[in-house]
Order: sequence, then C-alpha cells, then structure tokens
Amino acid sequence: MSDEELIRRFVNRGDEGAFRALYARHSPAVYGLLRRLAGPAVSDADDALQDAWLRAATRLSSFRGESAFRTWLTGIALNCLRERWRRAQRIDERGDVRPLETHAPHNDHAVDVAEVLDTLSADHREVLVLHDVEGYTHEEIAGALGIEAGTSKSRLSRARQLFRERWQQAPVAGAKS
Amino acid sequence: MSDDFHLSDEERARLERMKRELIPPAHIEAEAIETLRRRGLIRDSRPGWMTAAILATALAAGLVAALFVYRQMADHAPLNTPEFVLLLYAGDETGAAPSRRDEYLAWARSIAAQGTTISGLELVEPSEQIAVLPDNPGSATPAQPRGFFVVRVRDLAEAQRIAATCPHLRYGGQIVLRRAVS
Repeated sequence: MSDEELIRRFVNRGDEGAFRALYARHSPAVYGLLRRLAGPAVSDADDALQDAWLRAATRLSSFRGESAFRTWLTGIALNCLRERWRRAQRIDERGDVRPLETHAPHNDHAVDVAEVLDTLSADHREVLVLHDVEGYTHEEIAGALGIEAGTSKSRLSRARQLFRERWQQAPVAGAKS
Repeated sequence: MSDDFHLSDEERARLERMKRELIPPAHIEAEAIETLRRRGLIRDSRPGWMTAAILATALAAGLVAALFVYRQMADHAPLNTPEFVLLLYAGDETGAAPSRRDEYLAWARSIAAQGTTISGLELVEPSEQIAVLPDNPGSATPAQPRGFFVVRVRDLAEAQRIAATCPHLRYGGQIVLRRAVS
C-alpha cells in the first residue's frame, strides 16, 4: 500500500495499522540518520524519533505531498533533534573550532568516520550527512532544514573541507588507510 | 569561498558506507501509539456494535470468547504484551557482511510490517571489545551472543514461530529465546 493511502487511512480513520505500517517503513532510515547525527547521545536520537512521529501524526492532515513523505518526516525529525540540542545548549558546545585533539577519549583507538563527523558543527554535519551519506539533493536538504539551496551548497563545501582536514589530523595513522 | 569543494573517491566511499538503517528500540513505537491513542489520533478501528457484540459473546460463551477478546486487545495494547529476547549465537562462521546485515534488517522490517513490535542490535566481534566482570584469570568466558532481537508477542510459541524465520539460522547460527521479566 502506498504512503498516500496509509496517510489517508490514518487521517480519516485513526487507523493504528496504517500508522504502524508507515512507522515500520520509514523509521529505520530516519533513525539511522538521527543516530549518525546524534553521535554518542543515543537518547537524543530516540527522543527525536518519537517526537518526530508524534509531531508528524498531528500534522499529517496538512501534508500535501509536495515532497516525499520520508523527506518531510526527516525534516521534522531533524528539527526535533535540533530542539533537543538547543534545550541542552549543545549547539554552542559543538562549535566549529573544536579541534579533534580535544577528543581525549578517542585518542586511544582508531578514529573512525563517525568520530570525525562528530567534531563538525551541527550545521556542517547535517548537510554533509544528508548529502554525502544519505544522497539528498540540495533542494531536498533546503526543504528539510528550512534553508536556501545555495546555503546548503556552501555549507557542504565547507563541511567537506573540514572533514578532510580533521580526518587528516586524526591521531591514529591507520585511520587514513 | 568556493561552493564546489570535492572529496576524493575514497573519501566519498567512506562516507557512503556510513549509510545504514537501524531498527529503533521497540518502546518508541509503543509509546508513540499510546500517546496518539490518548490524544484521539488513533482510534479503535472496530465499530461500536462490533465491540458490543464481542463483549456479549464473551459473556455468553465464557472462556473461548474471552480469549478471542484478549487476542484482539493484545493487538492494540503492545505495552501489555510480553517481550521475548532472541539471543543470536554464531555458528562456525564469523563476521557479518553488509549484505547479511541488510538481510537481517529486511527480515526485522517484515516482522514489524506484520504488526509485531521488534527491535535489535548487532554486537561487535567479541575479539574487538569485551569486558568480563569480575575478571577471574583462569575462569572460562561465557558464550557470547552476536546480537539480539526483542519481540513483543503473546507467548513463547509465537516467539518461536518468528525466530524460525530469522535468517540467522540459515547462516548456521543458533537462537536462544528468553522471556523478559515484565
């Protein structure tokens, strides 16, 4: 059954089965994204996913299908994650200038891609993950994050640059193999 | 600043390999559904007359009808349904290729699509990161599961039916089912 039909059933009848089907179809991808963005803060990803579904369910009646349902849901989930970060004042702590070397816990084992991503600011990490990991277009990123496509492009360029610099700075030589 | 900073093929491949779907913990779906039900966004799909008929039948026919009602309610009350843990132990083989992970994920999604709440995690190789406490030299390390799924089903028989379809068995692995304390 298509997303549109499931949405119709949920909105018109409050159909639990339709909600479960939508949840089963889209949650693994959205949750995978949230986990990559949240890094070690797993509970942030958990809470953001639940917040996103609750918010999406409330707004489904106004979903017009201009974008794919998953893109729409992803945008909501990203906002929920950002709100959690904002509440915890983590955005500021994830400043763009934080050098990799301050990651003391990471210095004793091979640094992986996820850890390098975690050193980027939230803005840069989001765009890099959405574009280069998830395969979103700049237009889709713009829609999901509420920014201009041009902003997405320039953020991606800077994020890639920082990713390369920090990967090359990673303290373990094996990380660059 | 230029808007077209490009990564090398190797860097791009490294990032693309991060793309992975993850099954969220089961409680997220269950709690979301309970909240939506409280808010009136999820409604009982049975018409009022059907609920009344079921209750009347239950009163009239006793245990059999009561069980039927219980089964219907269980479908809509996942928080009251027991949880079973499927502990996945490896056979002779080791490691898990991405395609195999995809296979397990597809299986879990198919179980979820049938209305069963399921979550799970794959554990890293025991040789990579494992700690045993207390660390008594000379004592044998207990057998290590490679991962687990948690399913919310009515009974052990249903959990067994689900476990029997898990791709882990085709890879020579073994699955141990345990009921969680509710």
